Parts: sequence; structure tokens; C-alpha cells
Amino acid sequence: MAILIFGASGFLGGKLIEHYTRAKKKAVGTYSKSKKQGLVKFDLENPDLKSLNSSMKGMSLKDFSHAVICSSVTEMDLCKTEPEKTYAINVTGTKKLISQLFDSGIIPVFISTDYVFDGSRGNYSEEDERKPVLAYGKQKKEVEDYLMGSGKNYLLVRSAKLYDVTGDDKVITGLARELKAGKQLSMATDQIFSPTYVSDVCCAIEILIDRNITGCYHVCSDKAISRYELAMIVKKELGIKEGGVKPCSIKELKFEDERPLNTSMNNKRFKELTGFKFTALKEALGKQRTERMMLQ
Amino acid sequence: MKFLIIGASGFIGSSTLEYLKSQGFEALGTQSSSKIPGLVEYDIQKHSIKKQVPAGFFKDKDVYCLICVAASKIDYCYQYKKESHAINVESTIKLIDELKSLGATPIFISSSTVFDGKTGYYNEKSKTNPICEYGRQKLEVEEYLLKKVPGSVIIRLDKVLGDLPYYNHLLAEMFRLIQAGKTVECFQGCILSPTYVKDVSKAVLLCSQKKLSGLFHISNSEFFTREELARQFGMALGFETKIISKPMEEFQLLDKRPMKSYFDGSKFVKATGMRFTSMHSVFDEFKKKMNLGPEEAKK
Repeated sequence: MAILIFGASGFLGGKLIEHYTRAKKKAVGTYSKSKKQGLVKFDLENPDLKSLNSSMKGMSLKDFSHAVICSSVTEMDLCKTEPEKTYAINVTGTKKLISQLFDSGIIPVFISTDYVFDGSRGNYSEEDERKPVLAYGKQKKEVEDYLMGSGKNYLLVRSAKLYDVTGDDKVITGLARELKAGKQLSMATDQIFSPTYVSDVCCAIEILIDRNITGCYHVCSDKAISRYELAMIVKKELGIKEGGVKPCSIKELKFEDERPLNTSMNNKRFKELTGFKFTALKEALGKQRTERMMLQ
Repeated sequence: MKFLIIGASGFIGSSTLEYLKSQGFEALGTQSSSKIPGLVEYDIQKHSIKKQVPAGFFKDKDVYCLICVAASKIDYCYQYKKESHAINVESTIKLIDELKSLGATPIFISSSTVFDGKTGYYNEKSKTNPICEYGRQKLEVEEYLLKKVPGSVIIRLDKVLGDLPYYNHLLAEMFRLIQAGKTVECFQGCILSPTYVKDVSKAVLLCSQKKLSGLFHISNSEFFTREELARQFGMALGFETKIISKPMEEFQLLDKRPMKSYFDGSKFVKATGMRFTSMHSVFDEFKKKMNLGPEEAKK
């Protein structure tokens, strides 16, 4: 069976379709605004799942077992400043899409966020109480609630900040670029999270789908670190001499929507179920990963 | 005739280099990072092989190059598809192209994972159908060689093991468990052709001496289930062995493995007259060496 990927022009969706192509498994991706070759147009504001039957060449909805919903407005401050517009996509449209997927017998795989937690203590497990403080987290929680109350099979993947080590990611490459330009960056020591290698998340989604697992899983790296630590690791591992990193508090950085402090998550359930080993940040940045692979 | 062993710090590479030298052949080995004296540094992702070996190395006729280097862990290949593909396919093909242009004959090590393991007893004509990423990558290189490099040799191996308790191979793994009084856990329903690593080295030499080309299954004609291999091995060592078998799903593996991966190796035997070492003899060798230190055992 093939999978559908909603939002395949975005960061995770793009990597996921690449991952599936590499594994020689069938996947069809959609875009809504940023047109991309090979992807099918799909408007999440007015979702019409059946329309895909005519826009996909040689395939129909019954060829798909799962649909991964990566499409959403992920700019957190925008969810605060433009609540209605973002709600229409992130909640109303997404819920409609999920309901249509249920009707077509396709299992929705919803990508949620660590921001459904309030960040007061960190190390959150799947069952912990969700009390989002960000508008973005509140929107995601509403879709989660909808899934949990549906009585249907679904897969809910909560992930954290995702990064890649090449090309188009903001977390590592963006940071490295700014440092190389000689910038002095203020990084919060009190904002703790579990930055996760995007390729691990793609792999995790593949495993969950292939084994037909349903329910809620935290798919994030093992180690919780602060923004400041992240920047220091990147600077050191990539050997960047230029620029500087200065510790600060998240409160000193002005965001439209105030960020929760410690949203780190516990990935035990997923790891115990599958035996998966997450890539550590240092490993992703360095050569160790290849060396670990080559050991015979 | 001379030999270049790419990846001579690994299990098969080091055994083959040693064997060829012991038979009086000129043989050079490469390594990527671990520092073993006497090996040439060569990183398959970075270097040109011609620039790494001594000048004029490829001027001779009949240079055979055994390609042992690979990201060979099945689950790593699954988790890091892109990175492993870069090593196992893209860089390997680049090396093959370079060898071709230098007039050397590549001997590529492939694997029983190109099969799905449903029927077992595979010969060279059996239909391939890899069920894991590693197998797909191996098959991609096989297909490239068959199409683009006539004269090259592909040797498919199933389970290769040795007689030393220090390397990472199936017998050494089992030995550590048996010795510690722990239970050996086996994949239920797996059937494999355990083949002595020194036989693989001999087979590499035979491929070049007999000027073979194309696809060969290099395999002992004996085959065992995992449980039976563990039981026989334990008995030969004189240990009481606790064995249980569990379905593969209970092992928390990321990617799939073929269940019946054992080979019909008669094509190679017919072509060369090679006699494979029985597992009994391998167990006996292992027993002689199991109480020796790493240096003594190697002698």
C-alpha cells in the first residue's frame, strides 16, 4: 500500500517523500501554496479528498493505507497574531481532512508538537496532561482531541524541533550561517527541548506505518538540551571560529507569543516498542555516524 | 597477478589479505580510519584509489580488487538510507568505474539479502527480491556490474564465520553467551549456510586463478537452522548450551531479514573443484583457540 503525504512541500513532508522514494515505497505528496514538481495540489483550507482521485495519475484513494498530515501553519507567532486565518487551516481544515480520511478508510498520521505541553517541568510522556500556552499548541491540541475522541484508528506522532545537517534547515544550517557571518547570538539557557534529526522522524513514521501501529507516540531524540547548549554544540562540532554565543533568558527575547520553558519529551514508549535508536546531535553533526555504520 | 583488498581491516578483508600473502601473492590492503600498520589509507567516499596506492600499482596485468568495504549493518542501512546508499552504492560504483578505467578486475562481495528468504536454497539463477534496504543496495551494484563491467566477479555470501573468538561473527557472539552461561536466542525458522571465512579467502584466489567472471554463490554445502548451529557448536565446545528460538518480530529489529537464506553453491564448486570446510572442523579450530590470547590465537 502507498501513503499520502499532505504538505510535502514543507520541511518534514519533503524529507518524508524523499525517504519513501529512497526506500522504493510508493508515496504521493501534496502542496497547497508552494508549487513543487511531482506534487499534487491540495487546499487544506477547503479540503476535498475525493478531488485527489482525478489529480493523481494512475492511482486512486483506495491505494493508500495511511495519510501523513505534515501540512500546517508552523509559524508560531502567526498563530497568535492571525488567529482566525491560521485556525481555519490548522484546526477546521485539518479536522475536515481527517474526517474525510476516516470515511475513505485511510488511517491519518497526524504530526503534532511538544508545544501541547505547558513547559513547566519537561520530560513529558504520552499520557501527561496537555496544557498548551502557545496559540500554536492550542490549535494542535484541538486536532489531537478530535482524533482521540473519534473512536477510529489513528496515529499521533508528537515531535519536537526538527533539524537536518545539510541544505535547507533553519536550526543547524541557519545557526551556522549566522555564526560564520560573525554574529553575536543570544541563546536562552532556560528554553529546553529535544531537537530531533529529521531523518530519524521519517524513519520512525515508516516503522509505525509498516507495522500498522496506532495511538500516540513521542518521536524525539533522547537528550533534552537548551537553546544555548544547542548553539554551543553546533559551534564546536562544526569548528566555527567566528561569531559568539551569549547565554540569556528566554524572557529577554521578545516573541509575540511567549514560549514555554521546558517542553522536552520522553520517547520511551516508542523506543521500547520498536528498538529504534535516535541519532544524537553530535553524531548527526560529526563523522561518527558514518563510522558507526561502517564498523563490521 | 596481484591483489588489492579494499577494506582490509574488516573480517573478510583481513582474512583474505593474510591468506593471499601466506600463499606468496603480492597483496595490498586499504583501511578508512582504524590505524593498522601496513594498510594504505583509503576512504571510499573521499579518495581516488589510484592516488592512494603506490605509483604504478595498476600498471601490471591481472590486478584483482576485492571490494569488502560497506556499511553492512542491516538496521543502520534502514535508519540511514541516504548515508548508507552513498557508501554502498554511489561511492562503490565510483570505485568500480575507476577500477575499470585502470584495467583492474573488481571482485564485489554481495549478500544473500538480495533474496526474500521465502524459499531458500538459492542458486545464481534464482529470482532476486530484496526485502531490506541493505539487500536493495547490494542488488543495485550487482546489476551495475553485470551490465557495465563484463569480466567482473560478484560473490554472494550468506553467513560467514571464523575460528577466532575475538572478531565479530556469529560463532564468537554465541561463544560469549555460552561461556557466560547465558541463553543463546535464535531467530525462529532461519536457515543459513555457515561458511568459513578462510574458505571465502580461498575462493577469492580461485576466482582469479580460474579467470571466472559473473555471479557466484560462495557457500558451504552444509546448512543449519540457527538453533541447530548453536546446539552443535555448544556440543563441540563441551559446554552446556541454553538455546531458545523466538520469532524475528520479537527481536526489535528495524528492517526485515530473509528467513531461509541458504545457498546452492554448486556452480562455484563445479567451476573450481573447491572443497569447503565442514562446520565440525571450524568448531574444532575454534575450540583449540578459545582459551588463547588474541596474539597467540592468530598464530
